[in-house]
Amino acid sequence: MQNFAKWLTRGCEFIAAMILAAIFIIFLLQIFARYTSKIAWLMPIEQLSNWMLTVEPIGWTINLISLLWVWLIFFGCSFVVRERDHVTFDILYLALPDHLRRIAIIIISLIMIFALLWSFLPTWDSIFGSRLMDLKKIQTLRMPITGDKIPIKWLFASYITFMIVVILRYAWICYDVSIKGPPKRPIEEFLDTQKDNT
Amino acid sequence: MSIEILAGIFILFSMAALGAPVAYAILSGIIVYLGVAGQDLAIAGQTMVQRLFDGFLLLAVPLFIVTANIMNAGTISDRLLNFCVAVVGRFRGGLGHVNVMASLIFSGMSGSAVADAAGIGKLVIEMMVKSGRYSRGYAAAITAATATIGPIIPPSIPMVLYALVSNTSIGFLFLAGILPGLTMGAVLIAMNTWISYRRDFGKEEAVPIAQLPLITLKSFPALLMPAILLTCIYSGVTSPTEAAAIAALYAFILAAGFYRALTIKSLYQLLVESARSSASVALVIGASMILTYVVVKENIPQTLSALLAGAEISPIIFLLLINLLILLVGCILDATVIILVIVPLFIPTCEALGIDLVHFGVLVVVNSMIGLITPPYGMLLFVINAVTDIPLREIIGEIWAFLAVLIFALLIMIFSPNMVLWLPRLIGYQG
Repeated sequence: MQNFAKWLTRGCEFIAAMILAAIFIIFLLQIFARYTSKIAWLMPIEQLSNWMLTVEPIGWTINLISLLWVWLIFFGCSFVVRERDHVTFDILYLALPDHLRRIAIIIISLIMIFALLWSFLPTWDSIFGSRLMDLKKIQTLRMPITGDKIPIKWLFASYITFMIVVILRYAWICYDVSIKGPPKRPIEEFLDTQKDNT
Repeated sequence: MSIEILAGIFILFSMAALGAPVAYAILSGIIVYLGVAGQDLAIAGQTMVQRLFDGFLLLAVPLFIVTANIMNAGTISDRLLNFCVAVVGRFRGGLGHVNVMASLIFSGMSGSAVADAAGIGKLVIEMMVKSGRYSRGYAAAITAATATIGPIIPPSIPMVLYALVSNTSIGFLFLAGILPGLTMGAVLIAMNTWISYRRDFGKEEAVPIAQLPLITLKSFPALLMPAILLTCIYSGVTSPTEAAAIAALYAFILAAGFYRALTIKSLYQLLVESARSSASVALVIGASMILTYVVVKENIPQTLSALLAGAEISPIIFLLLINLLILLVGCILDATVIILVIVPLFIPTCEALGIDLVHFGVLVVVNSMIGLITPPYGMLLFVINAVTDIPLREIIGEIWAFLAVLIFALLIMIFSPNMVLWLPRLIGYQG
């Protein structure tokens, strides 16, 4: 089980890193395509400069980058971002004793689970139950082999993934904390190692 | 105020206060608001996804994060530091000056104060402590203070966020940041000189002038980065977002090709780290976008604007009050949250009072960066504490003098919009 969790984390980190790399490369491709034909005269080799003249600006890059970006955010927040990586306001939390922290985390988890479950079905319906989401396509993007346009629901599906995973994560946190007590914050872990050294 | 707003605000604040991730607190607050109001609950998720998809400018954020990480992993920071030591290390309090100068140059590349402090800042602190002339607290405090310059001089992630919420041009905002950034550097150098003479810090051994050309030559490619970035943006060759991609490419070529300091493994690791921090920052951005949607729908900024217009406040008093407010909330809130959630509330008022939005943006960003070093909750203090093991108490004990001069620099900027807007106007900014 532990092993499985580790491999899942590794795999997800790999996917996130590759999405980010893809965004970066597509950006470069977009700039490259826009300027290649304009700087063709600089190229001394004739065959290459002829080829460069034929390169045309690409229209689909912006939409593909945006699609990957939205997926990077929600996939990343589901599987790669750890609790401690989030932007939090933790002055009050850090001032609490352990038993109150446990209650704080349980309250947070329950509200989060409640809010996401409450909005889950309406959100699901509005994405997978709506003909509009099926008919409306992401502009300029086509699947490589079939040539079909991508329905816009696959953009919004990233948020559904996020909702499901966050509900499961908070259910686990709630269970874990009520049994083991609150985890240490990075700053406190660090302070503990300091104490051991001195 | 209606019952649904009260319910939403209650959930948002209690979640945030209990230590929930800010993005989740906002999301739950909005869902409860929509639910109590009997509106479609799908609006929350749909608005967030749609706005993130449409906000193309936002893509500069992950690219700047990647660039900063490449610079730190690829020893570019080390080289810049050598250059700074050779140039200003010879004066009294020299390593303090090196600290300021390194931040000025490095900020022209990374756009993030935290990356600045964790990367080049850590190296300078080690040098300062090793030289034996500076206390640990002093070294850490001046590093935290100089790191605030990072996002003022372009490129800048906080300015991208401000441009997003205020609809101002990112190009003009970037230009407007240059002089204020230099001003901040100047006041910090002045403070460092004063303290160095008062406490009689010893001088470093000067690097021989004869070696200067070689050291400059070696670090020259790294020094070229801000120039490349700004040229790409202002010549119209690329959009600001594309310029961020060019910057990342340039950093990559330098680190991997020119300095040969990047392995496949470290490259992969920095991609994972960048993906992780981009996703968590973007989620806060997405959440505050739905918050803005609700705030605008409820007409809160307009109400606020009418209220303040009724009070007949002069623009300068308004600016002072706003800055005081941001300074105070900056003690406890993160800069991202201030810019994305609090600032949009006041933008209509600014427009009504005739305050220039680019000028206002620079003030807001400078101010929220100062917030990063104000105790008790200063992100930069924590970061430095975490990467160097220097106790927070010692850092905070030394930070006050630098905090004071930075606030002085902020006051100069508040009272002289012409200084801030001088460079953008040269390029054709009408304001």
